[in-house]
Amino acid sequence: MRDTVLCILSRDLTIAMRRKNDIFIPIIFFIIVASLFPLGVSPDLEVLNKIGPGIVWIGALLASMLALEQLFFSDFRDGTLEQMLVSSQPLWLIVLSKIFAHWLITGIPLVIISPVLALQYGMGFESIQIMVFSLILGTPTLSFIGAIGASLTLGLRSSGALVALLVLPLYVPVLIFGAGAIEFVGSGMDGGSNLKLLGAILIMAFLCAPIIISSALRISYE
Amino acid sequence: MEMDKKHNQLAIENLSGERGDYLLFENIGLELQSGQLLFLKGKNGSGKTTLLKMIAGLISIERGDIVWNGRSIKKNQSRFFSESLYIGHLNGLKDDLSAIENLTISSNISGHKLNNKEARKALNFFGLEGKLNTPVKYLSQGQKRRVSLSKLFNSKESLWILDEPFSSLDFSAVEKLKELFLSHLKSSGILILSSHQEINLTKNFNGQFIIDLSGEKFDA
Repeated sequence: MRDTVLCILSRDLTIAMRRKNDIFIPIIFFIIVASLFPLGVSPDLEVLNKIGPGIVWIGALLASMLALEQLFFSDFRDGTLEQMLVSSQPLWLIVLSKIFAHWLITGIPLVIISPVLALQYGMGFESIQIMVFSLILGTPTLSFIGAIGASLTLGLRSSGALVALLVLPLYVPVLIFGAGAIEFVGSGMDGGSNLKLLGAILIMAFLCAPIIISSALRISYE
Repeated sequence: MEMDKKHNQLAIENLSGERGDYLLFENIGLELQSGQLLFLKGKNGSGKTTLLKMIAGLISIERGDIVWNGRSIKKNQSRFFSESLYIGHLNGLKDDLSAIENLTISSNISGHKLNNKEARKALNFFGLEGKLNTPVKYLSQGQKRRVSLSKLFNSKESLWILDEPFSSLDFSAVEKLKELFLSHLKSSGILILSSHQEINLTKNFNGQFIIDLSGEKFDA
């Protein structure tokens, strides 16, 4: 079991390292989206401070969606998905490893770069701190929910747009609690309860998503 | 290539397959024992791949059943998957990984860990020495097929299900592959393969069944 997890992880990470655009496109997209608002809305620090948390979160949400289409499709196209479906290892374990790899490739870089973007919005140290925590708890959930969308639309035409339509509404709770936590702290309150809710959503996604995705993949494959 | 000498049996019972509303084949029934080979013939679109995928457990079975060693594969999926090996007409290789990486990872996903030496030996058997560390995207179609089939070399599974294994292989690779097939059948394995071209495994080989899907008739 451990071998399978390590094998899939190292496989997906090696491929990502050899095709660097998989890593860089989401980060650069995230930076650009978050930088457009000060230019377009207002350079006024008070306004920016207000909209900052929401914008960083929306940016992260959109960026993490970019690589979703490829999550299962590249394996589907070259036949490795077939091999995963007939593996003697449980499919949910393979799926879980793939989602974890996806988060390491797309989620972690967003978390790392986000404090720099938060400075554009004049956020204080405490707000930045809670933002990083909320992203650490929230981005894996985005990967789980996104993977459900990706598995359901596998092999369909214009699946990229379809994934977005399917997944974005489901991202809403994560967005509300994630951005909410930062706003609470920004206005002097405690953001802890929001973080706990984010954690609860993550646990639920962790438990349910791999099994849902496994059956969705079998159905989509046929 | 150690394999347990236990007896294996695959029974296909009244199997029907359709694509959309179109019926591909109907009421196929057959029993295969250890050391026997099933050869699927038929023109393009006659349902060879569908039948193979059904036997491999990739496509769900609507009518009929497939029974492996006395148990329906619908109910005993994980056991069946650990004893069967399916290689489809897609090679299942990652373009950015080298031949040796592909083979080790793909064996690992199937559930059999392969060490570096075993992987090397398998690839060398198919004449890929010198290409072991080349990313697969720089290999030719035939070479990719060889990398994909090299999984058979160390396989411990008793049921091999191969879709068009000979496609894009040259003469020497075909001979190597037949060699593997024979030793698999000798060590109580079962082999199912599809091909649109005639193959002769050996002279006087009498464990061969043929299903011709274009004519819907069976020969034993």
